[in-house]
Amino acid sequence: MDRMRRYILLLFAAVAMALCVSSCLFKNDDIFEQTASARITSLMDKTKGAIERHPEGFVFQFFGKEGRGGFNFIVRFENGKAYLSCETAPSDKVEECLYDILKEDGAVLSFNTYCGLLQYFHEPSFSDVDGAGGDYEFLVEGVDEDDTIRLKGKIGSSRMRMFPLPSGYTPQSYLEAVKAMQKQWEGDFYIYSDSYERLGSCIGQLNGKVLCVKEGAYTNANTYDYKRSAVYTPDGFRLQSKLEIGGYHGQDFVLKNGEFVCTDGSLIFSSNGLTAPAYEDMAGAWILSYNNYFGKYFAKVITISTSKDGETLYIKNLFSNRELDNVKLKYVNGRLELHPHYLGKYEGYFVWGILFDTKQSTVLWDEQTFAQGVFTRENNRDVFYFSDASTAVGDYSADGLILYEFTSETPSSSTRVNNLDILCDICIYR
Amino acid sequence: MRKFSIIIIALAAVICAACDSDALDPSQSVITGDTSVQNSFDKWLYTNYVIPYNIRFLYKMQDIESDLSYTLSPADYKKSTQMARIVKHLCLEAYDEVTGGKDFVCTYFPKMFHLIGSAAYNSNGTIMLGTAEGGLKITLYMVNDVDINNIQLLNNYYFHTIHHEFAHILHQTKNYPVEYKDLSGKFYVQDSWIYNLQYLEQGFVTAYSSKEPNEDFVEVISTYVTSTQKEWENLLEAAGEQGRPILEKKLAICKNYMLASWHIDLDKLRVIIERRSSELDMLGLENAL
Repeated sequence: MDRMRRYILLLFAAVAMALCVSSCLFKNDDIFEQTASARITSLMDKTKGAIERHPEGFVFQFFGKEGRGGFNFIVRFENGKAYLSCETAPSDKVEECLYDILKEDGAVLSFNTYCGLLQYFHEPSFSDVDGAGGDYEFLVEGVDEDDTIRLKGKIGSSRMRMFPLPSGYTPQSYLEAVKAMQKQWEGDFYIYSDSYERLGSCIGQLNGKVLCVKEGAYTNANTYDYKRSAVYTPDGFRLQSKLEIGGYHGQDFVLKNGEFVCTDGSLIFSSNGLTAPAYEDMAGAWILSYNNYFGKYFAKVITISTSKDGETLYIKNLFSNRELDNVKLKYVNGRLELHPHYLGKYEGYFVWGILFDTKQSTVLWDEQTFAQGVFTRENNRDVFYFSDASTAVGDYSADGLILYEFTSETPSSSTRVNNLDILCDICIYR
Repeated sequence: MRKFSIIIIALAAVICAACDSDALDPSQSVITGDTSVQNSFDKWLYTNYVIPYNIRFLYKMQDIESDLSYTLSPADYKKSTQMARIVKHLCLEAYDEVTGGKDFVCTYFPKMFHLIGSAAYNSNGTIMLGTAEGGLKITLYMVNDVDINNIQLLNNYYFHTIHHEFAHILHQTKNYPVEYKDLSGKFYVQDSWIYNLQYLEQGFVTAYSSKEPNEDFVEVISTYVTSTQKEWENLLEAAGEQGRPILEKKLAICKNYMLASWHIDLDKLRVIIERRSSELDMLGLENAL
């Protein structure tokens, strides 16, 4: 019995030793000084503090779905209400909604009643049930010393920032300034390093709000190596995320002597050598090349003529055997736009040149839809590559031209008859 | 044994002494609220929804309360203030009037309204107008389309939905007679209801009724109380010789059920709702709260 008791005592002593050692040996330091809850509360307080310190308002550099461009909002917070204006609307237009700073998995800035300017990037519809990928709630990732609030879209996950309205600007004048700066993005650009080593080419879509970058030269407007949304500032533009090409990088750019020069890296966007011919100089012989729907390559000499309105160009000789020699282009700031339009009668039907989504085999005749010919120089030749610029209906890409017969003078689903030809990967050069 | 006890006490003391502990900070709470500013509408809701009915009227979009499988937009503030007043007048107070007090609504009505500005769009081309979850919450969509001068639209979009969802709660609490399910038994088509163009001849008040018996039952109640006598007669006429008798039987079962189970006379309720609908212009809906 004594022996048994001794064993039990020894066992207890061993367990006690083990417990003591294990509980005393290690003391883990906390990774964070505060609990998660306290950190969220602290971030909420910082956000609230920053908002209260700037009654003049904030510039909100908003990004929605990738490849949709960046947009400036001016947001003024006052007594539970947010007053928003945006570069997509007249600069003096202000809409209000309520806002809250909420405690969820993190601190969340929520614009939780309807604001049309903000919901433009989010609103669902029958044709786009998922909306445009924007947000109305934003996770606060941090508040910097200069009261810049770093945000992340709760649904879209785009990172963006909101900083106090710079002194010297009113909300209206800031929006006017960024709209004016965006107009400086004309035509297309080469990308250079700060020692003027040419790194690549850049085509700006959506009037320079989306930059498609290719290392080397463009040979097809639909291909690119990098795509970045850009939001304009009074001095230049900021990319949604850093661009790295050929070992060089940059995100913030300012306009200097006609070039967008990086302020946080070593890239330069320059249009040097990439100026499209003036409208009057477009007249003359060109070659139009395209692939048909089955991928067969065609090239044809065409004649482009100008008109009195200073923007319409006519293509002759394209469909010489079809009495449809009436294809129109619109010349806009060194770019060519191909909109749906009536071509003429053929086989008793009304023939329209309408746009075509080659991947989804969808015809697009909405007037707001157009393909855009962007200018570049290749082997000392002037070249325009056509690609989708803007589609008004859903997520379609207007990258081809289709000749379609209708029984009515205007295109409609009920009067569609037949397609005569499909032109994909259109390119005009001389 | 004594030695044994001493060792255990010593052991406990050593272990406790070895544990580190952080003192509680009484100045901080882990439960902290948001930074909402109470506006005049919030105060009105407290007085008109929370105090008398214990109902929360959530007009600020909260994704956690919404169906995350849809992309949704928040409700417009002004439309929300109008909706709150209309729901109270046309729905909550209509039930108060027909039952003779607030107890019925307090006991059975869902405890939360959640307003969504946009519709919930389905990829099959349909939209969702409202949902009721577990008898606790009614979500109303398309609030940004509220037109206070169009009672037809108000009924079609919202009050049909509210009465529909509330009727679900009632039949889930006390079931309706089983013979109801046999009246159109072979015509229930589940999700193919959207293609059902013969619903009236089959004895359904709406195409959606042909989804399944529970939906059919609540559609009859909600359609009846939100229709005028003339509209209901037109519907019966359109149902023809085949559909009319089925619809009349269904309505009779619904009326008996509501009276026997809930002491609610559907005809009286309909008259009250119709009268209250004509009073909307007296609510001053264009004025801010």
